[in-house]
Amino acid sequence: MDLGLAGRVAVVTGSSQGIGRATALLFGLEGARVAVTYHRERDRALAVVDEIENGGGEAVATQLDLATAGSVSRAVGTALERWGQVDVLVNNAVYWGDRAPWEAPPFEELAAEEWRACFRLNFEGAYSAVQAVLPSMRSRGFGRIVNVSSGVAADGFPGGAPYGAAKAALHGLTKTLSKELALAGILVNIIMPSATRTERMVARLPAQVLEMSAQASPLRRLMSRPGRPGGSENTTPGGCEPVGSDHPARKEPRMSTQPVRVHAAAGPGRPAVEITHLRKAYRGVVAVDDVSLSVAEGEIFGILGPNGAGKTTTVECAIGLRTPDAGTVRLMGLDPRTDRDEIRQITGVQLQTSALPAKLRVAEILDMHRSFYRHPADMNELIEALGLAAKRRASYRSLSGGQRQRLSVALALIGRPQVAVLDEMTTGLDPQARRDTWGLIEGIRGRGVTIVLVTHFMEEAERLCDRVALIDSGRVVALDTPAGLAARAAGGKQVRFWPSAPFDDRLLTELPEVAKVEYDGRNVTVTGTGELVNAVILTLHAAGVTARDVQLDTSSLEDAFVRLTGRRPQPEGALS
Amino acid sequence: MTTHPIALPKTAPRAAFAKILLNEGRLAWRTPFGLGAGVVVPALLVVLFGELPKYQVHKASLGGLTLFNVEVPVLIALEIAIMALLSLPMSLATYREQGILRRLSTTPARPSWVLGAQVAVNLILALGALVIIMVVGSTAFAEQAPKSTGGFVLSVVLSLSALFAIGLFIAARAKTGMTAYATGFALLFPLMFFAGLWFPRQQMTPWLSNVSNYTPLGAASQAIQDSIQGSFPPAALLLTLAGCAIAFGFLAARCFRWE
Repeated sequence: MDLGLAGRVAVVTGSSQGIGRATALLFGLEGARVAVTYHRERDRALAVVDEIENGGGEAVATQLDLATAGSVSRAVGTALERWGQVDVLVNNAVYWGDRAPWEAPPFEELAAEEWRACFRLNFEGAYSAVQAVLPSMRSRGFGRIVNVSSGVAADGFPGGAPYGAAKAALHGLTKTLSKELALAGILVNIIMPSATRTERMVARLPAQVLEMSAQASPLRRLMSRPGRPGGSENTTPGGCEPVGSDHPARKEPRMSTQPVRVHAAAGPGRPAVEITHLRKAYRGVVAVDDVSLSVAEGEIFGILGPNGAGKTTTVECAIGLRTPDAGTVRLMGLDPRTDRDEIRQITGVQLQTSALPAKLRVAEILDMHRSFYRHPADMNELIEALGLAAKRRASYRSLSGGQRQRLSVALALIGRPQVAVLDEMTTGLDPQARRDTWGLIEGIRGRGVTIVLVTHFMEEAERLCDRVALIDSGRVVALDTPAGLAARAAGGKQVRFWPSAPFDDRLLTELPEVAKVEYDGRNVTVTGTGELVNAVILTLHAAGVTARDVQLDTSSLEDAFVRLTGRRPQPEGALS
Repeated sequence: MTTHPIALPKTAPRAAFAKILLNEGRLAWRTPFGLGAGVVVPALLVVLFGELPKYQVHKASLGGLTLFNVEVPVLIALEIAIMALLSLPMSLATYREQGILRRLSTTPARPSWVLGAQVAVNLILALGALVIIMVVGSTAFAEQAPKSTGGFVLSVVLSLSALFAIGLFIAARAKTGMTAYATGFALLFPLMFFAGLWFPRQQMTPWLSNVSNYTPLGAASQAIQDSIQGSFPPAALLLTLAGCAIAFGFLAARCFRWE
């Protein structure tokens, strides 16, 4: 995409990681000269600079400590000194203090200093940065300021009072400044990302909270993988788009709780896995008839289907364990048949059925596998991450099913693979172990590993996968996001409620979202698509009618499965 | 158009093989079948036979040898057979049965490295047992050091090759660890008969002794006996062993399945 950033100077605060990093990298890629600011992570910031410079861009790293007076203006000063101007400011830095901004004690116990520190530093950091850049922008009649807010400001989050308040204050500041500065050619916008799966979030938030945040999001999952350059999608502040226009149109800042998801159409990424017209038969029995699919780098891709559909054969051909009868397979651009050794180095595989020597110990097994790879992962870190620390010296035989599975996943990851293939990762696990394993996969999502997940659990695919290919009788019958598949199968959503007063059907049937309105006693059922609930409730509200007991039925992936394959997926826990 | 990842140093297969070997060694220690049946039992038998007075009498019927002299090569043949025909095929077939080889084939390691490591571990155990039998036999008891050292070394090397080739062939064909064990066991007793386990080869009829010279264990025990007692073993015995090694080695390589 061309954001019109060529030659511009951008200051992106807090850009050694997370959303800031993604933004800085994208800006760099788009030709901007970027000042990357960091608080403690100097090496990470330098890595961002390197990455921009390697892409032919220009960047500088500078420290910015929100808690130190004058630090903000000094950071901005670095860019001014170096390049003589600042055109774009992205206010992204967050003050964390001793704990995450949303981890404050119960409100009545919140110490005044802590309140002041969290509120002030998060809010004042932004306005000091704006003050620091304005002279340069005003003198040149051009400026773009993007303030990064948080879903906490609009939706709240327990323990996040000072942080949410600071971010809400930022909205007021943004609105005011946008009106004050528009005619000077300076556009001020705010974006409000929902919870984003940055490394820091994953490290600081317990899995349940991540899960809660994911459930609160319309897509039922966290925004993922910020700062994966070369990935198929980057999370970037959408508010930057007007940067390209020379025409200082006034732009109304919009409050939104929607995740901001900008697809970088022209990412340099090739697909991590590309399968075209794959065919494989065993002694005349066709296992895979004609499968074509493409998995983007960094994606969690699900391969779903009934037993015997050809899922396992497909992935086994993809990793070169079997030779296809026809069709081509490319894994990170390599041919599994001719580049066997290289592919083994960059893939991690967990097979559906395979054991390990019963009397070897966990650490011994991992240590051995580690020696196979050029750049193995840190064994202790992996053991910790997979919750196997207490089992280090336990023999494989003594491990529970869940622990074996986790070890198996560890073996798939020990070589720092670029692509991990996990076949029926949670089959045979009890529900708790299954959830733990899911948490684990969500955890490695942030590490930039492309994951191909073969499964027949709908819940697993719905929870983990970015996209899903539904395979039946050796063919891809559908390929979409889990939500997309589900929506396709059921032909829409249904909202049920009972109205506080009678109303005219046409109020609703005229809405583009609504397909059908039905009555069942006092209950009303509306079928439709899109933002159906909002549309219905807002329209009724405007007409003075309150919708009570609102229930939303969305069809599930399971419905899609049944509809597309004519079969029920296996019940949870059944062994294939 | 495919940009190959930056050329990096090749994996050090030697380091990987060393780790595999280390783990196979640990397994051999923790699953002491080979260690017990192939090393400890023959060692105990040497001591037992050495202590029995009846075994120390030189007999004309044994060509002037004692029963103890006769039993030493038989015990060597026995321990080699246990390692080669039971221990090795059983663990290899179990690895295949449980998908351990298959899992390995998804990593940069080759399943053949595991095969190599298992052969190495069992060879080391077989050689260890051989050293114990010879050292205990000659220091504590009346066994002498081989008179034809070259003949002895050659006989041992060819015996190991022949028996391990048969073991690999069993491992290549057996579907499960249990099948491998049963096959090895079924072969062990008839083959050990020819080696002189049930009654001394010296007391076999010429016809039987002749047949026995063309079986792997018969040839092994006779060749070792000859080289201890003084002469370089006859070419027929060595050729039997070499032929066996080549034939079964070829067959094993032909029909080995990794999964």
